[in-house]
Amino acid sequence: MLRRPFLFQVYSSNMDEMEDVELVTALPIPVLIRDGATTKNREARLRVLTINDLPTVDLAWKPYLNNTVEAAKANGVRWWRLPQHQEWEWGAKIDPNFMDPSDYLIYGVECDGAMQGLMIVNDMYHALLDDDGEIADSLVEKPIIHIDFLCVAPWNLAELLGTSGKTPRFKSVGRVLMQIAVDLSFENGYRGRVGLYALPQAESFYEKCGMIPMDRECDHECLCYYELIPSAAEVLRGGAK
Amino acid sequence: MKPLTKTSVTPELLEAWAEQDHAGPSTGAGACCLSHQVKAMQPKPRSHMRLRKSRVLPVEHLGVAGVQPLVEA
Repeated sequence: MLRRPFLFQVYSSNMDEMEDVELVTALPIPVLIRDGATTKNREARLRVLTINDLPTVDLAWKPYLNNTVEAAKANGVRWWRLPQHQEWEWGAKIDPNFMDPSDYLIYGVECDGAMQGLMIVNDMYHALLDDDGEIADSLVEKPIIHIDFLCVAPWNLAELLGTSGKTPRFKSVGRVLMQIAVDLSFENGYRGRVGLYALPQAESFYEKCGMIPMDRECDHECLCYYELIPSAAEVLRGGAK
Repeated sequence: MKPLTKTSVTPELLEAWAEQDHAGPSTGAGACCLSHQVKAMQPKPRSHMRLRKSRVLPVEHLGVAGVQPLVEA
């Protein structure tokens, strides 16, 4: 299980005794993102969210995304240039009936009173690659931070907004979230290992981050699996020094 | 274990990302990453993901989902 920032005591469901519950309510961490209009750095807040926060994000993002997509279609933008994640429902990403919410961490970058990007991670998997970037043939424990979902707010989607001549409100939010995942991996002792299944439109982004692609897998919607090995993670982290 | 209390995102890093975006998608995250990009040109064959822990929820969760847990005789 991923470590949690705080442990709270709350009443149990039958209200007759106290129990320890891991509430995901960490203090926000300051983080920098770039203003799309002025290209100045802005201080945002990195928040750890709960699954109860996710429907709120849908309410804030969906209308803008739908309107922008419709405008793009009206401008003659073909379907393959529209965001492949436009059907995502964040509120349905972690279903407590079938998934244990404590297995996941949800990070959000907040600025100007709105979520500018969101990421759901878990640490339930092993890495597939060894330290040299080759397929690992041993069963040595190599835990990894696995990014289930990563997305920026629709008003930060440069490609989509570019179809109607608009500029994103904030830039680098996706890179910041990726860096957060790497930081989280180092903090947990996973040596910077990060893995994810990438949507085709995002593959070049993850390759820019130094991740190594593997074969597409039919039981994961034919998405390409990417993995960041420790040496590449050190490069990302080293770039921050 | 310590929680994530700070990030490694710095003004210099943001500047580097901006320069990289101006340079186009093929330059990668700094020169150091170019070697990884070369590797990235050829996807690797892979095996199935190995779970470190079970995704099976405790029995009490099954009732929540409307599924009756099996009871051993």
